[in-house]
Amino acid sequence: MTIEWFALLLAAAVPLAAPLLFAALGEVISETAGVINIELEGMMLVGAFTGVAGALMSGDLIVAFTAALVGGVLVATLQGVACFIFGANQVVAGIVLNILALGATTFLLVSALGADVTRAVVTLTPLPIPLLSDIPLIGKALFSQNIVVYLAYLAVPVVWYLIAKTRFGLTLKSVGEKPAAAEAMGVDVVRTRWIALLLCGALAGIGGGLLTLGGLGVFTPNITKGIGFIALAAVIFGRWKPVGAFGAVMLFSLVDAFQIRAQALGLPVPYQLLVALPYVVTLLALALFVSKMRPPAALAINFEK
Amino acid sequence: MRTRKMLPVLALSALLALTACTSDGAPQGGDNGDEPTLRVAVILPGETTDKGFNKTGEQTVELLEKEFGAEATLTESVNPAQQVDVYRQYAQQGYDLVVGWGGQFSDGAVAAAEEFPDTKFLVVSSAVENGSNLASYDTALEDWHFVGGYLMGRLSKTGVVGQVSGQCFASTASGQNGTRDGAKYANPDIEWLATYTGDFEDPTKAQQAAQAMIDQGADMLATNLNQGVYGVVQAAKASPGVGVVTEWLDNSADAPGVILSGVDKSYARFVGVKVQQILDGTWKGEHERFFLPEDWGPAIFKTADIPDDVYQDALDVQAKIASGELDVVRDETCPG
Repeated sequence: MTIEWFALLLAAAVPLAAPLLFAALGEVISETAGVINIELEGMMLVGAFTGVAGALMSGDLIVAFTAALVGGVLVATLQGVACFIFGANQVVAGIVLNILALGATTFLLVSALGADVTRAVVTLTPLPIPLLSDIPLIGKALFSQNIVVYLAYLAVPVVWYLIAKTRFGLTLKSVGEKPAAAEAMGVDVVRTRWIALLLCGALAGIGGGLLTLGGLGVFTPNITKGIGFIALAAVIFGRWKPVGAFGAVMLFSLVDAFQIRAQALGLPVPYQLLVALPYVVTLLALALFVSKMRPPAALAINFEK
Repeated sequence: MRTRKMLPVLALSALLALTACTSDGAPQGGDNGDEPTLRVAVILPGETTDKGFNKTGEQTVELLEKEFGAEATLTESVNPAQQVDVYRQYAQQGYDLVVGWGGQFSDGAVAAAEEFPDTKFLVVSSAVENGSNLASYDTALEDWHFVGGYLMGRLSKTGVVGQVSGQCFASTASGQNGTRDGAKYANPDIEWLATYTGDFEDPTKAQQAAQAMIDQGADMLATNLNQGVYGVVQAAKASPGVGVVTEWLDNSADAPGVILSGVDKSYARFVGVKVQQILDGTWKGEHERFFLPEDWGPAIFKTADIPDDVYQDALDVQAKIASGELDVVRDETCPG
């Protein structure tokens, strides 16, 4: 393992983390307002699907990412209708939506896109930033990514600013902590939660789109493979803070990139152990840190006037 | 909980049930004509759109119809947890032979074979047997993959080749280690890289694994994946000079100049052997292993990117394996 090997590891982890970042940041916004989205995985899966469908139909990446965003928002809307209008339990509705997203995308893949399902679509190409991308070792990792990966990292300070420094952020927090008091102060709790939920859907949808449009170019059934749940865990591990979630996502992605590279080095370790490593690290991190954390007081509790 | 709160959940569940039904149709019985034709059903773990293992299941059905005039049908995407029911449905409809396409369908065949002694059950890539109506077979995958590995060894310019696989168990290991031994037979100094992603269906992980190998200098990559294969192809596409050897079918048209060949190791022909045994009355409820036969035809697909002389050398290696002149050792070991 040389220093170059670690540079390549970083270069692998940076784009790997980007879809997770979008989803985790969206979930931070939503949970700050007291709405938990177990269906984060489903939002990403539908976004990954509609993104590829949009690319297949238009051949244009802006249309494709718009479609991915709409896909995530669609799942968020279903969650909102179930919970805010019909008063369904947020966790139960989220679980059902995950199963629905898996069934619907798998079904539509064959029925709507037909036999052409595996035709590769247009994907994003790297956009090296002049000068910065020439920095030895880390230049390629950090500054030779595609535009949406840059946006994922830029979204971290943006979401931090939104929550910590703006009036809207304060409203989100009040709705997530003491919704009754917020309502009494004239805040429209349900409306605020709708906005937070839809923002989460949009971001998770883009994250899903990045998964397929960021280089893979195809959609396969259940392509998200549980990363939505990892993003969900990253929000808790990150103490419901954008920067914390960012740290958790980076840890998971680095370990994930490490394990897959470690195998090719021929380490005398059963591959099953290496494959499990990112999940073990996430689990340990949650077990060690989660007891000291307090979620938003009204998380997952529907507001009734 | 009030019923009003349950409504959306129930509505979603109903929708879900609808989509589930349409994608997983129950097997349909056909009318027997006056001639007693052999009725065969094949149970697939995935969809025939995979351009791989499941597609060869569909080819089996076509082969049985064409060569034996059999009435053959298949069910796609059978969840292994539901296998007994699917076996049972076909047996109740009077099918003569039900084929489980993959070792994951072994348990259901054991149970169904006991329940329906007049129906024959066959599981491919498995070792189950009951001495009467349950048989299975696997193939010496190392024979086929040795030829693919030899081709990779000859085509590699960097002297580094690798394979991205899903999971390691006896049969997948024998194939992967066959690829390794073939590459080393072509070039004893070749560096061999191997990664199991833990998931045949995860293209994102496969792309990562392939990229890691490319970063280490690999320019020829083999695959043992289902949907995951797209990730390897995408990683190779993004790195000029890197070629991929897939398996089961010739997929080179999907990525010309990137997918350079594929290993043709379809199980379809051996189902034909078993059906012939039924017709001849020589069927035994036993496990068999089939080796690369001399009349197999090319075990690797030819594309324009393979020089004629290299391809011919690979076919010569294949002929030596089939004739027994070259002994390929079966190695079922997994890393660690």
